[in-house]
Amino acid sequence: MKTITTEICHHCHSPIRMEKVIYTDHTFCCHGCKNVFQLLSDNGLCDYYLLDENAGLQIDGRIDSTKFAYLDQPKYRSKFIRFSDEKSSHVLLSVPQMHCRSCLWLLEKLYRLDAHILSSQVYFEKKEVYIIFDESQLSFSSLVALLSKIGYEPSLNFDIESTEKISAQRNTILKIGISGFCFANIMMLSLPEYFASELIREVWFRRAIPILNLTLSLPILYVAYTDFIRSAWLGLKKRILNIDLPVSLAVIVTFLRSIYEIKFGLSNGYLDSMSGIVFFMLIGRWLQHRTENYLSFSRDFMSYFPIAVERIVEGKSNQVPIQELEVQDKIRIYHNEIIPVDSILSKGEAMIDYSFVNGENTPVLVEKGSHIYAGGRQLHGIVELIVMHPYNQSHLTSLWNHHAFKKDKLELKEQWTDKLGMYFTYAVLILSGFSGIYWYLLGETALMWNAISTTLIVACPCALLLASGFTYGQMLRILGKNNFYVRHYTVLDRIRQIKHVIFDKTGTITHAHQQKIHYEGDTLHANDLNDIVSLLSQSKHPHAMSISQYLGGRISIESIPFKETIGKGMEAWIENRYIKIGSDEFCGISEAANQTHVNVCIDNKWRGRFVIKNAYRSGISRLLKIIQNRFRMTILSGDIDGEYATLRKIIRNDHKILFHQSPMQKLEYVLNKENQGEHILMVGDGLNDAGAFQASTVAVALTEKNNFFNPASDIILDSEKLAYLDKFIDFIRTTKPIIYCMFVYSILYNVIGLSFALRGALTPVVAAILMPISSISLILFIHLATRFSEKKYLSFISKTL
Amino acid sequence: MEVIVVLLFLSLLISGGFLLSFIYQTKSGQFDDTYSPAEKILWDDSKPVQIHKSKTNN
Repeated sequence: MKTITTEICHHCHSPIRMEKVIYTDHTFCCHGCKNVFQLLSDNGLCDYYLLDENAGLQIDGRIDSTKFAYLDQPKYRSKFIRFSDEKSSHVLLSVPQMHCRSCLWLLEKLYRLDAHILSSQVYFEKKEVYIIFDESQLSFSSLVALLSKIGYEPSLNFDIESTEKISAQRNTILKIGISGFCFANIMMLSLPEYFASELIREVWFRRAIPILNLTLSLPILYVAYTDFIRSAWLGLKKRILNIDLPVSLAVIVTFLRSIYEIKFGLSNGYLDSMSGIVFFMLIGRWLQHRTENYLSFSRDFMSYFPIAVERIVEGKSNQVPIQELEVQDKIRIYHNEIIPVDSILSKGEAMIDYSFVNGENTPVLVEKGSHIYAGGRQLHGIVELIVMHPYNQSHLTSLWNHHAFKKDKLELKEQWTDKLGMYFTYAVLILSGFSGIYWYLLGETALMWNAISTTLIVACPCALLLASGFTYGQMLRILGKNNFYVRHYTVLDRIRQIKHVIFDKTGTITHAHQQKIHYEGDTLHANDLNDIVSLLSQSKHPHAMSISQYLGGRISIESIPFKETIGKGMEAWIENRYIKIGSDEFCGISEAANQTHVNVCIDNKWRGRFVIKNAYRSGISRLLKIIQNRFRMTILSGDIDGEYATLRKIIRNDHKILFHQSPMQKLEYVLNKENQGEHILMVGDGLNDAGAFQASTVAVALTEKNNFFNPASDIILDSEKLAYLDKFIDFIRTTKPIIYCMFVYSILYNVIGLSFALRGALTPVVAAILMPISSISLILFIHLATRFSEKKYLSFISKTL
Repeated sequence: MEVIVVLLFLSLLISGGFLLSFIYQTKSGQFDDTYSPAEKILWDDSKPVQIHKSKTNN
C-alpha cells in the first residue's frame, strides 16, 4: 500500500486529495486554483501569497460569464450599479469571502487584472468593494465573472440596507465627537473659576466664560433632545418608562439650574456635568450596539438558493433569475449546484444531497420522472428538470409560512437594566422630595431649591447605562474574538433563561463533510486494497471518495474499464479478478445492517464491508455529557436512526434522541416546549433547522469557514468551537453579576455625591469632579472584570483560525 | 493675566478648526472603515512589477 504524504495546494492550502495539478513547480488541488495562480502571476500579482499566510480561497462550482449574464439586463443591473455615465460605472459589491490582508490587497489591485477596471476600493470591515469600471468595454456580468474567477464571487443580494447603516453610523460618530468636544471645552473653561476664582478681577472675563459655556452647551442640548428627551417623552405618552427618562430629567434640571446660577451671578453653572452626562451616555449606547458589520443574522431561504439558473427554451439556453421560472419550464442543473425549485427529473442521473434541507446524511438517487425538491444539491453530473412549483411555493418555503416566522424575536422588551434604572429614579425622586420638605420645614428655602435640583443632577443613572452598555459591549467583543458572534446584546440576557438545549445531528455534532470509516470482514491483502482503490477512484460518489481517501488516497493508475451503476455500485475486472463494490442489493446480500455501508465482493465472494459513520466533532462527547447534567437535552435529527446506539452510550435515558425529524416536526417540537415555558437553546446548521430556530429562545447557527449561509439565528458560531459551548454559556452568565456589582459601585458613588447634594453643599466643582471620575473608574472596573471572566472561562480555547 | 484670555480664545478657535475637520472627515466617509487604510499604508507600490507571461492561454 503506497502511503502518500499530504501535499497542500499552493493556492488554497487545503490538502490535495484526488486530483493533482502541477504548474510551474507548484502543486494545486484543482484547475480552479491553478487558474487563479496563473492569472495572478501573469499580471505580476504574486505578492498575494506573500502578504498573508492564509491567502487563497477554494474555487467552488462552475465559473463562466454566462452564469451572470442576467445581470446585464436593466432590471437587475440597476439594483447594483449606483452611477453610470459614458465614461464609467460605479458599483458596490458585497464580497464576504475576504478575510485577510491579501484579499484586501488583491481586491484593490483589480485594475491590473483588467484594463477596463479603473479603480477599486475595499471596505474591509463591511466586506464590500466599490469598483469603478468602463462598462462599455467590460460588461457588468464579465466583471462579476472575473471576481468569481479569482475566488471572490460577490454575494448578490438585492437588499440595499447598507447605505442606511452607514449614515446611522456616521451620525453616531458625529454626535459623540461633537459632544466630547463641548464637554472637554466646557470643563476647561470652568477651571479658572474652580481653582482661582479670587484671582480673576476682570468683570468682562467673568461674564464671557458663562456665555461661552452656554454656547458650547447648545449642541449638547440638541443631541440630548434628539437622543434622549424625545424618546423619553414618547415613552411617557405611551406610559412606558425607559431609561431615557431619568437622563432627560437630569439634563433638563441641570440646564435650568445652571441658567439660574448664571443669571444671578452665583456661579458658572453645572454645564460641564450636563455635557458629561450626555457624552458618557452616548458612549454607553454606542458600546452596547457594536456588532460585526458584515455578518448577516437574518437570512431567509432565498439567500441559500442560487440567483439564476439555466433555462432551456426551444433548444436555446440562457440564464434566468429563479424568480422568473414558471411551471413547466425546462432547466439544467450542473454538478454541485443547488436545485432552486421543486421539479421533476427529465434527463440525466440525479444524485441529490438533501443534508442541508432535511438532515439526511445519505444522498438520494432519483429516478427519471420522480420529484426533486428545492434545496438539494446535485452531486453527480448534469441533469435537466421540469419545474413543478415556482420558487416561492416549494415544499421548503412552506416552512416559512408558519406563524412562528411572523414574530420578530428582536422586539425589544423591557430590559432588566431599564427596570433597575427606574427604581433608581424613583428612589432619587423620593429622596430629593424628602430633602426638599426637610429644608422647607426648617425654613431654608434657598437650601431647599439647592438640594432638590442638585440631587437630581448628581444622582445620575448614566452610570447604570454606562455599566450595562460597556459590559455588554465587552462581552460581545470577547465572544467575537472567539468566533462566537452575537446578533444583539439582548441575546445575552436570554441565555440566562435557558433550561433546555437541543442539538441537530447532521452537520452540527457531526462533521458535515467528513466521515469515519472502518472495515468489517475478512482481511484484505495489499493487492486487494490497491485494486479497490483503483476502482473507487473512478467514481465521484461521496462514499467512493471517502473510502478511497480512507484507504490512502491517490494511486496513479491509468483509468481502467469499469461499470458504475449510479447509486448502487461499481464493478470491474482488474488483473483477472472480478471486483464488485456497492450496496447490499448490488452485491446480492440479503441481511441488511442498518448502518450505511459499502460491500466488497471479489470473484463473487463477499469479503467484507466498509461501514461509514458520521465523524463526530472532537470534544462533542464531553460537551454532551456536561450539557445533559446542567440542562434538559434533546437531539433532533432528520437522518435515519443508525446512530441511536452510539449516542445513547453518552446520553442518559431521560434525554430524548429523535430521528426522522422533518423541518416542520422540529419546529413543532420546539414550539411545544416553549409554550410550556421551557426556554430552548437550539444548535443547528441547516435549512432544516430554520423553523426550530425561529421558535426557540436562542438559536445558534454553526458555520464552516467558507460557508456563508446560515439560517436566521441569534448567534453564529464557528463549527470548530462548538465543543466549548458550555464554557461560552458560563462566560455569558457572568454578565448579570458584573453589571450588578457595577451598579452597586455606582450607587456608592451616588451616595457620596448625594451626601453633598442633600445638605445643599454640592458646588459645581464637586459635581464636575465626581461625574467623570465615576464614569471612567466604572469603565476601568468593567474592563478588569470582563478580562477576569474571560481568563477564567475562555482561556482554554486555542486561538487558531 | 489677560493674556490667558487671549490664549483661551485662540485655543478654542484652533480646536474648533479641528472639530470642523472632524465633521468633514466623518461626513465624507473617511471613518467608515478603519482597517483598510491602516493596511494600505504598508504596501510598497514602488517596487517594479515582475510579470511572467504564461506561454499558453487558458
